[in-house]
Amino acid sequence: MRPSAIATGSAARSGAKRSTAAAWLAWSLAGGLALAAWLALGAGALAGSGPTCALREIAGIGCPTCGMTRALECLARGDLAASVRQHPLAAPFVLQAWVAWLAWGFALVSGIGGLADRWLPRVVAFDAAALVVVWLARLLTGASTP
Amino acid sequence: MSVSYAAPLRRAWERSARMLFRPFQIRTWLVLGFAAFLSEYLSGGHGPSFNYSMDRGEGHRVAREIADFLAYPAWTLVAIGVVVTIAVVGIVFLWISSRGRFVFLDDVVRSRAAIVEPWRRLGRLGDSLFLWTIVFVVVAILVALSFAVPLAITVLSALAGDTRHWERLLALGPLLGLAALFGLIVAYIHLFLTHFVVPIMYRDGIGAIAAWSKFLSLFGRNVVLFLAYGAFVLALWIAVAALVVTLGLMTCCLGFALLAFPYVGSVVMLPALVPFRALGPEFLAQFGEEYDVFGAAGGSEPAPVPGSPT
Repeated sequence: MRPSAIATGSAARSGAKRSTAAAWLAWSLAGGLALAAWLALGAGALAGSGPTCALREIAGIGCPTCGMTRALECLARGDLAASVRQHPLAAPFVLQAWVAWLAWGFALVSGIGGLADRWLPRVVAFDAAALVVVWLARLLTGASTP
Repeated sequence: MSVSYAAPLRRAWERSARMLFRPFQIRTWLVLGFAAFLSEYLSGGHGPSFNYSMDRGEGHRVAREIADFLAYPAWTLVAIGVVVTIAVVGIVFLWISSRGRFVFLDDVVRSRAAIVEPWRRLGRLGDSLFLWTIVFVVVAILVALSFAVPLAITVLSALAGDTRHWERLLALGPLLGLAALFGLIVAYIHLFLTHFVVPIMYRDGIGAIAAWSKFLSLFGRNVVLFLAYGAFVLALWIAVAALVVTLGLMTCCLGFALLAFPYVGSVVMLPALVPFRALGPEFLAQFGEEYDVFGAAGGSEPAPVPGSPT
């Protein structure tokens, strides 16, 4: 093998190693940040202060994500029933995020690529549709967030 | 030669849809989002704006406190140091964004996502754009000061409660008109630089001054078309802003928080940033092969749009 080819192959291998290390670092950071946020929510870090709904203030109706923060707080404290009352999609979204993080780790270990490229647009579209459906159901039934 | 506004927009959107969604690849979004961040966000064009209004008494108090603060030489040095640091950081950001503009344009033209290779290859053009922009900013500031100072003096003397203040207020009219005209000219220069001069620099591999010369010869023959282009782009941005506000309101303003994050905001806004980046070159291509950026670069063509002019 010519020296230039050896050098090219060596550079490509070190580049691939750096890329894998960066990916694992990103995976670990994402998991760590999510865990820290979850623990903070459970400890009441946002007690009494979450995002205010501009749509509710302007038009008097809640937006599709109204109650999501409170629902996540209830879930972080282990109160599933209260979480569902605040927003029924909070628990499924948390489950999705956890599965996505595990799938990301699996992809890094197995080297199987393209999972996120195939599934992310579908999941985002499905979640957006689910938010709208729940929102419309709340509006039509008159059920509003406490 | 018939020049259209809708057809370039459709082609730009088709190009963007193909690049971002067919197929969808996270890597493309993340890398292209970084290119857009370098190009658009570091130039300050999408930074948060801060508006604060003071009443007369508060303004005098703030001015007195600033004067008292600067009376101590040590604090004056600190203030100068802070101003110099901000200026240096601003200049560095401007250099990065000047180079980033060509990285983003190259990615859109070639329908791929890359940072390092175009950054190196197109660095000379980015440096030329940076130098031109520095000179332009200095000249613009000097021109702005030439009527901002009399404007400020007029306003302050009117607020001082002089009995003839109504005469001074009348003098504000022409000054405000001048300021508005100046703002419009600067806005058009920025638009033409971003949408036309940068693509000409990229296509021909020439510096900013040569590219402006080439563009101005075209502009001189089609003044109304290019001025109308400015109104067209403004209408598009208003539509995009309305959509962004609607989506933000529908997410308890969490959408706004997402957009405010550097880099994250540029990734989320790619479906708007990529078409806008492609729109200028698509419009320019209607004026002949010598202005066709996509053809010269061998960039892949978008799918033909039914009914588009040939």
